[in-house]
Amino acid sequence: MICQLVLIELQNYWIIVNGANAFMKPFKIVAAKSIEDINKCFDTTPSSSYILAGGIDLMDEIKEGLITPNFLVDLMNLEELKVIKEEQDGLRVGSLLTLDLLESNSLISARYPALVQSIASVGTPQIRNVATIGGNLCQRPRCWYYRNQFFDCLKKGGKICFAVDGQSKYHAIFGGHRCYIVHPSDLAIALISYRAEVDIVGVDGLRRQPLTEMYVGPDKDMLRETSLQPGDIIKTIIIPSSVPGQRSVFLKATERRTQDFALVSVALVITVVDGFIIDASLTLGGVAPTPYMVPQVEDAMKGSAILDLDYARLGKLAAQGATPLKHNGYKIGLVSALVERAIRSLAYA
Amino acid sequence: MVIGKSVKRRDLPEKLTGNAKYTADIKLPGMLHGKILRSVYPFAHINSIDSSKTLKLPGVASILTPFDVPLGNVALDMSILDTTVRFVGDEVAAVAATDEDIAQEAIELLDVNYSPLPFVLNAEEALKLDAPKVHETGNLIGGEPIVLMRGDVEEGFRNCDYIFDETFTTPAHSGSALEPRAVIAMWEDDFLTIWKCSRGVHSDRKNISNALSMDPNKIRVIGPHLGGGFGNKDESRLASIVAILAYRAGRPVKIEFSREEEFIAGRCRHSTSTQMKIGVSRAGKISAIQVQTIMNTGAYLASGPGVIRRAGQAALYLYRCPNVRYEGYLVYTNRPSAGSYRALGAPQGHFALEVMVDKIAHSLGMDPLDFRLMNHVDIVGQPGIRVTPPSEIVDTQPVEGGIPFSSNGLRECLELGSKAIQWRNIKGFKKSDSGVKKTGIGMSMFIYRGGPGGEAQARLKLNYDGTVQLITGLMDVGEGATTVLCQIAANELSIPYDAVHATFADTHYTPNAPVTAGSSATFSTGLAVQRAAGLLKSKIISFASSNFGVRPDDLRLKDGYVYEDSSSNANILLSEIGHLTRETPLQTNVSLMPGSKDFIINSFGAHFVRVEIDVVTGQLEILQYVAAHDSGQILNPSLAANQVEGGISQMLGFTLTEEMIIDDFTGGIVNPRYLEHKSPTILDIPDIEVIFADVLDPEGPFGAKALGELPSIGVAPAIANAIHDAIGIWVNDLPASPNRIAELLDNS
Repeated sequence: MICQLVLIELQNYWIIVNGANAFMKPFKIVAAKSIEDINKCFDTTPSSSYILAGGIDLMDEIKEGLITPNFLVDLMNLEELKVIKEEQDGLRVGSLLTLDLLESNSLISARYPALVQSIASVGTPQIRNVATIGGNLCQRPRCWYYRNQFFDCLKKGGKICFAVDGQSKYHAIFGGHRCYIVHPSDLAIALISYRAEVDIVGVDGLRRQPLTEMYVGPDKDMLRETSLQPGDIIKTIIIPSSVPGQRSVFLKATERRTQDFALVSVALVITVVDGFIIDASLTLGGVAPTPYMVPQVEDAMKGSAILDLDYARLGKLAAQGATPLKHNGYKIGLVSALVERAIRSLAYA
Repeated sequence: MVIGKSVKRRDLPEKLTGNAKYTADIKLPGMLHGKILRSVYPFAHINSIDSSKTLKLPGVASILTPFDVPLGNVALDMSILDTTVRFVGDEVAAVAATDEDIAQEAIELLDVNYSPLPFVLNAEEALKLDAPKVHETGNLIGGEPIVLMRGDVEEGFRNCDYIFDETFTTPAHSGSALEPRAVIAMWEDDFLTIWKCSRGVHSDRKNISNALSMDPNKIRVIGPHLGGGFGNKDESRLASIVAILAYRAGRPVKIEFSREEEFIAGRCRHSTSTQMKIGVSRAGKISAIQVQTIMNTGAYLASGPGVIRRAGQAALYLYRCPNVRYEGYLVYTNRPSAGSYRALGAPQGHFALEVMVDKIAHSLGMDPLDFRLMNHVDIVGQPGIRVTPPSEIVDTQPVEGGIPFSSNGLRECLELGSKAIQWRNIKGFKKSDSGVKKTGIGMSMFIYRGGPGGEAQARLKLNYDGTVQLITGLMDVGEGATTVLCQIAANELSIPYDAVHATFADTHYTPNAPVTAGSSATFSTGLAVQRAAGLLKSKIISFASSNFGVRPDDLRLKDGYVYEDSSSNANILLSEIGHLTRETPLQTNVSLMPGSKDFIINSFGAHFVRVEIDVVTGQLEILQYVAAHDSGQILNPSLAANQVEGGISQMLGFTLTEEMIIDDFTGGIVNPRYLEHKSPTILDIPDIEVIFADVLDPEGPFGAKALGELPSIGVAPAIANAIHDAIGIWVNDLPASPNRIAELLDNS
């Protein structure tokens, strides 16, 4: 028994994903009974421990041979992280709430349309039934070189990024720093546009930071995409209260209608008073290693009458500075189109 | 009559409840699990394999490497294991162990010493003189292209008003069947039993016996339920490897592919590059068609020669034309091996031809439907003189003219389909769509083999309880052959459908049968079943006549009884006859070579589609899809409509999103998974209106012709033509993914 927790040992643990029998090495699952348990567990177990919530991305990573955990610390008994409540500074969303519960929650659907739209665009109903908001925010990139055991890429500690000269259809057009992954979470794009913050608990106690600062690019850390240390978990997501005149939208371009990651996604949150935009927040997904914020467009919008804006020009402005690889130049047009559409849709909302 | 009725599929309950047993579900006592080590180089020589660490691993039962493999070929250009590996994922060695964990660890412990060789991935590059030779025989298979011609194309091009010349390309894509390949081998003394994902147990047995130099009578191959074949799963390398591992271990062995292995080491559709040149008169008459297709077969030949041949058939035969020439280059490269995939080369060939025809019609100011109505091949066939001797069966893929079709419902398909989609009310009319969404309408038509395949056999036996046993070596690949063949037997015998029991796909108990391929099962085996049932009926009547003293002419079969025509009292239950003949059952065995000496037997169809395109993002939505087919008499309308819907759904992927993408520097497939080999999801599949032309083929069983592969042929060109109608841009290269459409729009 470790940390006096329940220990379940699974031999020849099999799962069925995509109709295939995926092969995994045996590992142990430790069910945490309190947040403190997590720390204890990470203190006493070797570095091959991983946090298990919905397990959607974690199981993929194990299956794909990217990680070989000895221990999974299962959070799903932590009822305190499955609570949603309204406080003065905004809505506090427990990180273990599943996407389907959030999608149908009236506190969210009435006030945060872009968030609901982003949730609805994730995976399939089966995935949303199980996937948690915390897990969605922490998922690893979907780069096909990273996910493929055959390629020993930079992100796995190898020497090169294969996408630079290779197949780069789904890769970054902004901010690639030797590594051209794109940020995969749809929810993060929406939440950052709402200026959400996260409470992170871990070995060093509790800290609060803007969600956008939780993400780190390959320029800072090639092997990870967040500032979370081993044993850290997101406890709560704090979404600021919506203000009068707030309008928001999330748009996502994909190649098929469901079960697809974003080629490009756009979340726009604006506040309109008397026809004038007094605040704007624009975030893009699928284009850069981290959620990509577009201050030049936000600045151009602020103070303007929304009906007077040149939407097409703002769309083009959003794509400014893009440096595409061989196969992803189409994303520039897609960014412009989606940003233009997002603004237009809110102008007449 | 049970023919023409949508009787329930034979395997429906067990498949719906999850109780159907597929190969991988079978577990034998003492069974070991195997894993295959795969090449990490696209082309390399294996100098040595050190297995000492593997041998020390507890639980390892047997190992197979190219250095200790018995001599034997599993195909013309493929040995069981080879010291040369030819693509990333090629089989290097295999291990059997007590469980899958150990087997996996065991292959990872094999120490392989490779000498990597320069490699080639692109077919055009592979044709160059200085390209690395994938096989010693050279990269161009056969050393020269296949050339098929009728008339004189040069003459045709001299006598036309306009010449059109374009190049089209299509990508490799995977059939991505839900069931990954699996094989189990078990030895009892010197007798080998194989359970495998199969498309033909008898051909599997032949191939395995060749590879292992064994008497085929000492091998039994069983084909359990198949979770999707789509022309694949007819290979025998995996079966041979598993058989040897099991022999060496003295225990049964199972190997099941992972999803990734299924994508890489399965068989994909050949990628193609097709140059097409067509000469037409001002009035729109076609005078010459010249086609050159270069096809990438990857590391191994597989069924490549059949595929390259079939890619030319549309150009040779779909339009009435005296002068045609087809030249096909089948080329080895260091890509994963391509193979048979639903309709073989026909989708690629039709894509080029049918988009080209729309371009021509557009240039001439003609409606594409009118152009096709004017030029399509009719029941008379092609102009020219028959070359096939009158005593020989006519090929279902003829080149020469002068031979009529047994039936040809192509015009009916064009008329029924265009009416259903209201072509005349939509095409050519000024569109009202404004803004970023543009709508368009497109069509295609197609021709394909009508069902005659290899020699077909069927055995029918009256059981002691009066039911009938239908015995055939055929493999039901999931399309429903069991159901339809039982319908044919029941109908011919005038007994209830449920009174026919089926024994399929087991070499031990069934007569020889061809691979379930070329959309031939219903037509070819169906004819054998129909004839065997007719003969059994005569035997039953003759038995009844001699045992009950009634003239045979006065007897007939109905509803499981033998009736005497004049009196309804003298009913003899079949079960009585079955009981009386229990020691020497009444049975018949028919073997026949399907086909006609007088007619070409072909099936036809036309597809119509309306699309809506976002001109900024390139995203495409299918608004309406109409599929009109001539497959003769439809024996089971529900199964037939399923076939059409399935084929179209499958090829929406080929048309719009699917592609096996290779990393040019390493030769590795980057997307061996459903997420990025973007097969359509259920939400991407439109409602499909299926129409069957009212055609009876005089040669087929109850007037039926082939259907299986046909629905997959017309999808890509119909959609490409609709894209042009919507946004004025021709798609010559597939897939027409949103980014490609957006890029084409940007460049226009």
